[in-house]
Amino acid sequence: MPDALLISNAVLWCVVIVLALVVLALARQVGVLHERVAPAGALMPTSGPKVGERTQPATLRALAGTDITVGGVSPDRRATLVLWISPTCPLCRGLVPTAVSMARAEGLRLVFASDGDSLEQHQAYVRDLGIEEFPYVVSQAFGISHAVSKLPFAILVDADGVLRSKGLVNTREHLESLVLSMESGVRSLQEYVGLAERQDEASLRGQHP
Amino acid sequence: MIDPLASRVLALALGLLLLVAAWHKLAARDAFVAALDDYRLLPAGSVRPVAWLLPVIEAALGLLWLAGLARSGAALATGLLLAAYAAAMAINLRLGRWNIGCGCGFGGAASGREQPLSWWLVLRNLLLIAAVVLAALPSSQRTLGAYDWLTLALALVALALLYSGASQLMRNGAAIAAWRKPRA
Repeated sequence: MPDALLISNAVLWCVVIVLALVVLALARQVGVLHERVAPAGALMPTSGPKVGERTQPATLRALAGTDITVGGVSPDRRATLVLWISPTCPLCRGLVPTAVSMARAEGLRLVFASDGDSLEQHQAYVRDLGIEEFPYVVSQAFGISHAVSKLPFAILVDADGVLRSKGLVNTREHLESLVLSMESGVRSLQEYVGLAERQDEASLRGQHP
Repeated sequence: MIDPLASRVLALALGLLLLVAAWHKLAARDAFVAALDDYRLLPAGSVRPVAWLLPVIEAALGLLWLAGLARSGAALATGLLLAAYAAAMAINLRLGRWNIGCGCGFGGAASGREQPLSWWLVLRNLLLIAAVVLAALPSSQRTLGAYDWLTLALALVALALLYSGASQLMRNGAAIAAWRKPRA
């Protein structure tokens, strides 16, 4: 019996040390990941309306037959998220549920936009995605006015009609970066990093005059 | 009364920790001077001498613990040193100055940035003070056999690994917090 206890104790020690090694290795890997994977924002094109500009109200005919207005001062004081998608864009399909859940969580008015293809194709697409409750606009002019070149593309217009952020969005992180950009007032990740570096330098100068 | 094995494990672990800490501070002296300066608790002229003195005190205490000579005097000194570090960090945290390096980094240089202050570091120092108190308690008389020495060695390895793991987790936590925290 004492032998068995000794052996079991030795085995347990080995296990404890191996486990501690594993924990340390995992923690280091998480640390390395944080160093390598910088946060990513939406890719923002330089063409089209500029972020911070007031948008002109545009009245558009939705697929369901109702007229909706995008841009200008919003009557219900909600920000509007417009997401350009297309039946032929595989990435869009995955992003639609994300956009829906995000719009609900953030209290945004969600508008889908698209162009090309036949109306039947768009109607089938809307049924397929289960987004009948949201306005779906088929308009080439609307896309051109916002310089949409690649899908999925999104813009965020605040309650006062000011374009607060825009960009090519491929993931939930990109979409969230649009809302974050509106809330923080920082236009892009590049601007944020530049801001942070300038502040770091300023604080360094402050501490070591 | 505490078992002599537990007492020895704690004494050796504390001794090693103090020696490693002293070695890190001496190896990266400029960084440590800058970190100490950032704490803004010492008059400007005394930062450099204190930056010399602290690692020397740590090394001396570490050697005492390793040699098994750390009785009440050395234990009291170690406890006070750790309490002073904890107080310095707590004061700066209360002032909202979390953004300074803690000057306690192990491998901090490898990951680029120094570990910023956090309440976890204060908690860590309080736990270390508890270890000092335990190690300073009188131990019962028991002759240690071969198996006890093996346990001692393995326990030291396990403690060292867990300590490094905890430090790494604190650094990760700080990195995540830095993303979330708006830079004021």
